[in-house]
Amino acid sequence: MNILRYTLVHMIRSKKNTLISLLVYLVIFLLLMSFQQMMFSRQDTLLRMLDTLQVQGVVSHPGGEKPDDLNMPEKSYQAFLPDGQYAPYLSEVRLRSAHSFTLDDINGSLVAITDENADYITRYHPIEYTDCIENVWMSEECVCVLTMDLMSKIHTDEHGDAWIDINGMFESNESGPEAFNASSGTWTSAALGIKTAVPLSLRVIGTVTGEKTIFCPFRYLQTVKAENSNMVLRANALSFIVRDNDQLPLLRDMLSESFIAVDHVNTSASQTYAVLLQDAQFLQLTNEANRSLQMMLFLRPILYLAAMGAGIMLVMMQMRSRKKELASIRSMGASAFHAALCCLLEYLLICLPVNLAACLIVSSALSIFGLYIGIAFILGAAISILVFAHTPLARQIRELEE
Amino acid sequence: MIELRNVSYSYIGKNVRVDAVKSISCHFEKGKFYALMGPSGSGKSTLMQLINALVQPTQGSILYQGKPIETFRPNEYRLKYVSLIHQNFCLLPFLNVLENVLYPTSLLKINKQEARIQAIKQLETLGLDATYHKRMPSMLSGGEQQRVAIARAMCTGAPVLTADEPTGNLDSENARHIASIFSHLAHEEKKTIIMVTHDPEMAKQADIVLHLKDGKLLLNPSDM
Ligand SMILES: Nc1ncnc2c1ncn2[C@@H]1O[C@H](COP(=O)(O)OP(=O)(O)OP(=O)(O)O)[C@@H](O)[C@H]1O
Ligand SMILES: [Mg+2]
Repeated sequence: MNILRYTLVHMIRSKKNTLISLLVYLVIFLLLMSFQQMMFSRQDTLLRMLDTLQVQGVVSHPGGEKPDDLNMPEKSYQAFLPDGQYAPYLSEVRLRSAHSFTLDDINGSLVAITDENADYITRYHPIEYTDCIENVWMSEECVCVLTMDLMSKIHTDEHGDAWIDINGMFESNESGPEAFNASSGTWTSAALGIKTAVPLSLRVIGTVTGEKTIFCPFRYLQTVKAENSNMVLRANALSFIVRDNDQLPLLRDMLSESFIAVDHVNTSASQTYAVLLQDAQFLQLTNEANRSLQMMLFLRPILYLAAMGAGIMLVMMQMRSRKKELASIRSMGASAFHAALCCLLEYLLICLPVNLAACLIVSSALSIFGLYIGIAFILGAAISILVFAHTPLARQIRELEE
Repeated sequence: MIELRNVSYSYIGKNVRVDAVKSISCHFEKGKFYALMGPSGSGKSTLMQLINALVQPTQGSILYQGKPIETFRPNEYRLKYVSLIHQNFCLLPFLNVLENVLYPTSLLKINKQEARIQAIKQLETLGLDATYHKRMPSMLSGGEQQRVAIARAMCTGAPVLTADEPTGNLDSENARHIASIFSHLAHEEKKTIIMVTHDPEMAKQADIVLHLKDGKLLLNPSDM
């Protein structure tokens, strides 16, 4: 009769003991597992929240003021655009560049944007597009969305497409940039006197409520600028969404190299803008997630110890009835190791199916935890069994005879 | 077969030292049935434990067929050479009679089929036929249980059988039966039997009766 058969026969013929062991282990196992599951799911929720949380960044003037009137030069904003330095870290860049246009006797605003949400007008007044490519605002298409009052100015070509012809009025190189006056603490307006007029022909793809406003893709204006060297395209508002929150610290570091913090005024020509990362909620959640992770790390050994303690207690209890049997087989010539193994194998055979079932039912992370519970339990049992196996046989036999 | 040379054994506790066996020398021969007698506390059980290699002598040496018993592995020694029979039988309660008898052979690398035939034969000579094979120990009388235990001890073919008060829990008729079995095993199967007993009736069946008193072997029993 080998050890395995001996153990199986013992388990089957001492049903009561086996059932008690199984039950004790099952209760301990389920208890610890559900506790762990609770911690896991909390952690999971926090991480998911962190993942879906959109961290926004807003560019403003050094004091955090006038984020809608930045008058930001190209060298400052282009790092945010595709091909720019920050582009890999950003999922959406909302840039608005406001200009004016003339059409016959009308003076209106020409707003170039990179995202539907870059200007509040489009946010509050939904646009109805006719056919246009997806993400038209990031394209170089010469298209536009205009307010209803300009509908009378459009004309249709032979394909049935609607067009509008305007004169875009842009700042020219000769006008100076807006500057911060440190002594008075105010911003002096840019010298707006000199403008350059560029004729534009835009295909109309949608309408929006409002007055005398035309929206067009910012990148289209960039292509126009490439042909008009005198033309200046400044950004009036710039905000963005961080692509991957994990890279937030990296992005923050990169930004702080080129931009000053929001509570810090620096008038040097190269550092006139601040970037405000709205990550307070993110940081709070991160903290919370870290704390719950630490708690898990701290509690886990305690759970393992509990499983171990249960193993020790269970074996201690059952050893009373098995002492005699194990002393008998030792007196017949089985080694202490053999006797211990017979006993240990039994607890292994109790743990195994429970853990196996758990592996099949629950998620992998949890089943690994279950495995550790099993190991801790077996370890506890082993400690108890080894303490017993260590007792000299002479003493065991003396107890046997009593 | 087994030789004791000036064997002493003392239990050494914290503040106490009990000299349980004092300088005993004797020789147990093949094919003889020995009975060990003596008052309570005279060191009989201790002597048996020494012979079974459960404890090591504090002085002197024990030889098995001329070799010091320390040179054997303790488990192997009990398994192959010197079997033990207990006062309360110590059958494994969850194994039936045949399985109990076969258990020690499973610890040895021997042919299962042969071991089974041997076990059945052994049970047969002890008066336990096939109707007993499937019974559990709890369904047997004390005498029957002790016979199963003897069959189990014999099954590995160990030449020496030691028994500490094997009939202590049995009535006199069963005790006599066990003693006659021992006598038979010694004379017919050439085993060495060493049995501790309080019962003079049992001792009568032995070939040689040794008397112990205060840990010493008495040469003249009338000194008791
Ligand atoms: N574990 C022990 N620690 C200390 N002293 C012990 C121990 N076991 C036995 N003794 C002592 O050793 C002596 C011999 O004991 P042993 O058990 O060999 O006697 P015994 O002849 O078998 O007696 P009984 O007929 O009552 O079984 C006794 O004085 C006993 O008190
Ligand atoms: Mg005794």
